[in-house]
Amino acid sequence: MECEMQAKKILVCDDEPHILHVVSTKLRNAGYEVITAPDGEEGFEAAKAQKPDLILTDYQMPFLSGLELAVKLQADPQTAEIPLIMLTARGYSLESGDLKNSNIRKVLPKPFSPREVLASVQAILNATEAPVV
Amino acid sequence: MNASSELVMDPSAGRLPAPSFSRCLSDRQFQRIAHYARARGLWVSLWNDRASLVAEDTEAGPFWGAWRKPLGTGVTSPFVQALEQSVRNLSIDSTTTRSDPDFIPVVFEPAADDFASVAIPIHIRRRRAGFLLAIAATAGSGDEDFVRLCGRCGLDGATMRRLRESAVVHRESVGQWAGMLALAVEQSRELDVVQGELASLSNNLESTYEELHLIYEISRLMGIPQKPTQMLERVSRELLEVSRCAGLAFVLGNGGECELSWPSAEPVKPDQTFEHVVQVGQAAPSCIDVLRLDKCILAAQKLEADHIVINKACDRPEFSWAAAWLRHLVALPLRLDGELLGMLYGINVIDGGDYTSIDIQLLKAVSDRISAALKNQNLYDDLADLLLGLMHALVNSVDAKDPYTYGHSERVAYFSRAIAQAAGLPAIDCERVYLAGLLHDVGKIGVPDAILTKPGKLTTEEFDALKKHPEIGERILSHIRQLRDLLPGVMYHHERMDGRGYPHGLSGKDIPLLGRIICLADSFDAMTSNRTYRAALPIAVAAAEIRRCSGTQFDPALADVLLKIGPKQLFEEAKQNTRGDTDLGRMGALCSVLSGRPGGAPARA
Repeated sequence: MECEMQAKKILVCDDEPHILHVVSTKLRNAGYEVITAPDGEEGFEAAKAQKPDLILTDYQMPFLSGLELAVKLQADPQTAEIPLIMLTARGYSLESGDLKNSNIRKVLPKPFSPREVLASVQAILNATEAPVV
Repeated sequence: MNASSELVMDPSAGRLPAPSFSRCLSDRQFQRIAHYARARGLWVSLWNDRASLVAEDTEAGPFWGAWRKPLGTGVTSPFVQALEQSVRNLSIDSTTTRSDPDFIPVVFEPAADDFASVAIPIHIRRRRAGFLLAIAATAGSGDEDFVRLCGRCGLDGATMRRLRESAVVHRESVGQWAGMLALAVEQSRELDVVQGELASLSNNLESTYEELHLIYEISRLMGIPQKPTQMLERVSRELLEVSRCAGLAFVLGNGGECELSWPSAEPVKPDQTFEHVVQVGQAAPSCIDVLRLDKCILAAQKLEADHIVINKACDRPEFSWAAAWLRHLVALPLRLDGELLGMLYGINVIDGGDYTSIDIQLLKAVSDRISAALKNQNLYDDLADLLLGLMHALVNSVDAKDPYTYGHSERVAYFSRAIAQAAGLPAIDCERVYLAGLLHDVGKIGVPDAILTKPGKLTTEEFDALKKHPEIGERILSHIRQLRDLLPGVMYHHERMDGRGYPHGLSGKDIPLLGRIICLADSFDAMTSNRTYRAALPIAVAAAEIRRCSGTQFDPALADVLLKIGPKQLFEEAKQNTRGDTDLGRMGALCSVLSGRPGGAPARA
């Protein structure tokens, strides 16, 4: 990152270790602080405890699906504002109701492009950042 | 072309970049060891194979802090000089050896009794890459040496002796901790190697993800019916995003065609384009330059190679003509089952580096997909041409039964499509209307020639036989599954809006749109052509007749459409365009049938 500011924290939530690895490596290399969780439940705990700036989550996960996680986060005032990016199986689309009940900003179909993931993360984080005059 | 015989695989290309470590031990591992050593009263420093300092433990406490102070500042102290000299002696000793001991005792010259030191050689790929130097204070007998050294280094002897008391270790333990340190260094090196491999794997995995994503995108793009050049342009844009290529170019054809299309006879404009050449990306050269490149490569390689990488084009005399823009080049033949379908060229690298095997792997994966798609497209085109040819043959054989109706079906097809287009039907439906128009009179095969060509008025029996042709046509074509949704056009093109038509006497909107359109087109052509029983009517008369029968015989909305296009213009166009509509097979009419659009039946407005 160009200016040395507090690195933004991103929570990556996926039950597949290799996806977790690829995504977090890509994000770390781009200068983000990355925390990971192997399922929705741990993801929720981590989100509450660590207050990440953004959450990247898989849709299909044990214990708590990505969508359930998103809805649960939205219901909690502590985490309601955290933007989410969801990775889904190709061809799957979220219903408008799902999007309304959550803070999901973007849905990326698998197999995803790490480049595209990073671009989406940057776009969302830059947009939520207060403009500096 | 003698020079180009040197065009062989660049030996430096196509290899993975070796994982490089800028230092013999990563900072993380050095800090780990320093921490371990510090707890045992040792002070460690890291030196590379040229005996320069790489890192040192900066948190080793006040005793070592005082000694190491001038280290790395350019100011030399005798202590630091002695350290450097020790390392230099070791380095000169032997540059490379597999028989290096785990650790080498170092005699610290200025105060040999007061310090114990060992050097632990660090190896990378069995080559010595540096040393970890560990030094400890021992309670030696040589207090005098120690104080003298303090003095020469500008340190207060008494203070240093006091500090030494908490830092001192037993000389006997030197062997122990040296062994431990050697073990730690070895493990750290292994960890570094593993981490380097992991990083390389991660990169590889990431590019595999990109590749997979790209292949999906490309497969999706290839699912859209389109011209091969359009497909290549779309694919290239995706590929440019992911690969390191600065530009991409394709030349379609198998080289032989390329030879023909090479514009040698006439002067070529530098910006001239060719149908079989596609270039995308900022660095992509002009069409002409791509063709020249293609010629160069084809002439030299005979394309036995799976791929050709040229990372230093400037060194190649055969590419001197392209020296202004060509630096790196990858050439991949687009081949399927040994048949050459074209060439893919990656031109220059965005980051200025060389092409590696990872780049080739990506391009190869894509080029394989492209080859398959091109081959499919070729097969599809062949099939479409064949089928359309058969259809025309069938239709012509009907028209041939009566010289007066020669070309009738093609003109009806043409008029029908024009009406459908002007009425604003979707393009794919317009093509279906065309096919239905083409086939509408197929049933006349089942009507005796005597009736079809009879110059005078038909008897009731004869007319009844003629009236069977829509049903006969429908029966003939009903066996072709792909044409099933065209049948209403064949069956109902003699129905009238007022219900007085045949075969079923349907009226108004009960008549399928396809039937209503063809009915209008059929009548228009019948009026404007010669018949056995009368000469062609003037266009104006035909137009007036259409207007008169609008609402009774013809759908008034469609009649309006036809009159708005202008019957005269339509007639002239049809005359010019109905001789062999060759382009149909590729993207037009047949595509509309063969693509098997869900929902089937066209346009029921």
